[in-house]
Amino acid sequence: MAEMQFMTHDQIVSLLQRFSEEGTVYAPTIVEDQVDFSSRWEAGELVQALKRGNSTLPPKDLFFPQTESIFRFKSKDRDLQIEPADPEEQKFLVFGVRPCDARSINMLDEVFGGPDFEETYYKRRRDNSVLATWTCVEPDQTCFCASLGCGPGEADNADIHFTDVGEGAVVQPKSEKGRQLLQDFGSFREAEVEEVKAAQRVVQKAEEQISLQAPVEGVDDALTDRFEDPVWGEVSASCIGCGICTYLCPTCHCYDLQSEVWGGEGVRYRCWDSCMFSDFTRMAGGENPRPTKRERIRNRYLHKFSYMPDRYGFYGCTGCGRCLAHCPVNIDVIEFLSRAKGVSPSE
Amino acid sequence: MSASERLKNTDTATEAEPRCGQVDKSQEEFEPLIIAFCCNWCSYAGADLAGINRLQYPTNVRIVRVLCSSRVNPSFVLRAFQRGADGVLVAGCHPGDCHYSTGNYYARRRLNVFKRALHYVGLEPERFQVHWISAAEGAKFANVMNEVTQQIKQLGPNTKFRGGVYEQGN
Amino acid sequence: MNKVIEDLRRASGQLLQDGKVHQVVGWRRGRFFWQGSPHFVSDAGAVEELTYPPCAGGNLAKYLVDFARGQQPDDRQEEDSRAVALWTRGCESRAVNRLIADGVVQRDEVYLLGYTCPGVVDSEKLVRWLDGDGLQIEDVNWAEDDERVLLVETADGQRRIPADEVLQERCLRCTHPVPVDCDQLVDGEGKQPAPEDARFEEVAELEQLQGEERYEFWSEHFDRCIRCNACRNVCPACNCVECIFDSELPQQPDWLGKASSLSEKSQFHLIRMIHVADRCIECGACEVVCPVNLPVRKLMIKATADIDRLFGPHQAGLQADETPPLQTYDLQDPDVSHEGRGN
Repeated sequence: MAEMQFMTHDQIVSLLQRFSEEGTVYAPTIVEDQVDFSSRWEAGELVQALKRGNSTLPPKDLFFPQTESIFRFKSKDRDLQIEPADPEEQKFLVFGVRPCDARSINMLDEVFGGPDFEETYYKRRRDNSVLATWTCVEPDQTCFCASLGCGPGEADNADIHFTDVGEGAVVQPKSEKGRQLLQDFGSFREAEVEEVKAAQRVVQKAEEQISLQAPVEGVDDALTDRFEDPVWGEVSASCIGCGICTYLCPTCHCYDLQSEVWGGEGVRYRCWDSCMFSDFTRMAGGENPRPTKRERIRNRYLHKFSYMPDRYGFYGCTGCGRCLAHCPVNIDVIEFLSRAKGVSPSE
Repeated sequence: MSASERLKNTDTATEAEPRCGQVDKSQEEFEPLIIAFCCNWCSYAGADLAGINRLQYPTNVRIVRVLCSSRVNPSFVLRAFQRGADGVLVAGCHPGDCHYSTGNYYARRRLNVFKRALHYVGLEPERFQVHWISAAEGAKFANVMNEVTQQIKQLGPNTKFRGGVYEQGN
Repeated sequence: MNKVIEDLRRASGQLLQDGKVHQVVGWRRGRFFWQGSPHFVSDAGAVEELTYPPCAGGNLAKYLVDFARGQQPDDRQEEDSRAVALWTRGCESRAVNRLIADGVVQRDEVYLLGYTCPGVVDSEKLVRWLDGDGLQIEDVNWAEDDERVLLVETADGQRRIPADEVLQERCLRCTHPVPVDCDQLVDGEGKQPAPEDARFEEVAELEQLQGEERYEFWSEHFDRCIRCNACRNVCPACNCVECIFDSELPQQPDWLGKASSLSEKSQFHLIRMIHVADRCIECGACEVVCPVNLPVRKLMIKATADIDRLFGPHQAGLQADETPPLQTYDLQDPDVSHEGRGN
């Protein structure tokens, strides 16, 4: 409690502006009537953008870019030169991340920085970044984070957490980086008991607003030995095989390595890929072990609700509701979970 | 975050060295790179005739020989712009003279629609041109190449649809 | 519309009961008011699940491609060659014609259960319409007493809204709400067809801009593309066995990389535009499915508009035996102009 601070909206903006002098600030910005994390955020529109629902695209792109160079190559007279790409060193601050997305970054940390292997590009970005989360004051109808052990006001792996209480926000540094941020750039005072209570009420009210529930508990057990099951045909029948669910998912992290060749030189780059695409598992000879959408949907759901709990001990879903909101044919993950567990879908 | 925004945050883009197949643009006068897709039977032969007659045309033009103007896939044109062309032209037999009787009639329709599409998304119309040049028109070939080069020089370097991961250094 | 839905259900049930078709493809409600999901029913007892939700998304005809190529989950016996029934609006019937003309689907493989389209509600327009009153929408339904009225349930009670005020842009410009071909037509009032000259208004508006403004407009939009391929995958004209963007086999050059650079994204849309130029049936599904609201339809329609202007009146998908205009020619065709729009 002692660490709770209070900042007005203006003070928050000035903190971000002062940070911008040394690094980049990504904050919610309204672009074409959608919220997007952008370095071109507007001080005057920040509060308004924060009041909107969560961003259409999760902030994962800031740590795991859709496209990034791995190395450049040049060949001349049988001599091949390889020059590794140097990922940016610049410090950056991601502001206004919702707790569900912060949690997804926690999951990506496990994937790209687990005990066995550390991925340098991702790790460097994480080390250079400060994660500033924002209590989800007005959760969307599609939010079901509570079912996945997350919540509108919980952000354990954030560096600093803000809860809007009207004219300002109660600020809670959660890590050394967060404390440093306040020390270096903040201007604030200690939050009063009333303000802390108000923040708690905001979180509580937001929690009450989340009515959507996903019957996720024990689904990993329920999915055991269900590789050949009619449920996969049922849930995949309307799939059009686009990559919206995977590209909008904050925890999906599959990628491909491709080259771009310009004559005798070029670049090898990493880019997002989607298990929903027909060529995702196609092999050089043309054989495809996942030939239809049935196998592809099965893989995606099993990955999230069976393989990931198996490997990392958590479901690969944060309940952000993006796939639910944006799937063009409304394939409904909650309905899938209900079917998988053999319970009737809950509203 | 949009791609261009990400690229703005990196400073590794290299401008200095001209790359393979690219004309050095650092010099005072801008020397454009122009790709000309020439049909084997008329326009390419027209280029030959221009050569035999010792007609001068700028070295900015790089010829890619294709069997027919209808062989030119719009992807060829876009790829040329992507990899640094400042102008692209397609040259084929005059309508009615196609070696395959009707190939250039199809090309005329397609390229007409394609040219308007490029203009619609903001490309200057001079940057993509279609000309009909016969095997007997060596002088016309040289003239067209001179004209096109002149037009592109005036427009300056093309930046639209250009670049990729490599050039932008993401 | 509710009577139409009843009739469609009854007809679907009959078809399944008589064993004329093995499956009916229609719609069902989604979890939220702004959703409508394609729905597949193979049991006559389950036709009650089918409905026509006010926000009934993309284009159902695309599933015929999946059926034809063994991509659709399907419990049929191998010798079962019965047709699949499709709830068919104008755009779906034109898409079916397109697929027949492209040799993807045979006419007897599909039973077209037609109805006059009431239009598809644009949920964002609906929210904007009510936003002045600060109302949260809970549900949307078609009114019983008037086919052109929507009943919107809000926390503050029911509101009646004229459907034509909140239809999707593509529907406002639709010239064929009535199917151009079907095996059985369910009567209903539906939406009035738009005048033909309304089709290209948006294109004409953009054409009025200066070149640099147009470039800015399109590059800003293309830049937001996330390359999810939804526009391609929902498009009935995008029915290649193997899409050029997916081909990575060594014998086929990759004309487009997978990177998310502006140049690759622009090329994705331009190449797709040219590939479907003369076969686009103007259903606008591409725009509806886009998660980042790119005006994809405004790009596609440009090609349709130019073909119409240059080579004579053109609307794809009106007949199953039509030749797409770019697969033919006329000796008197206008030349490629050296101006911009030209001619």
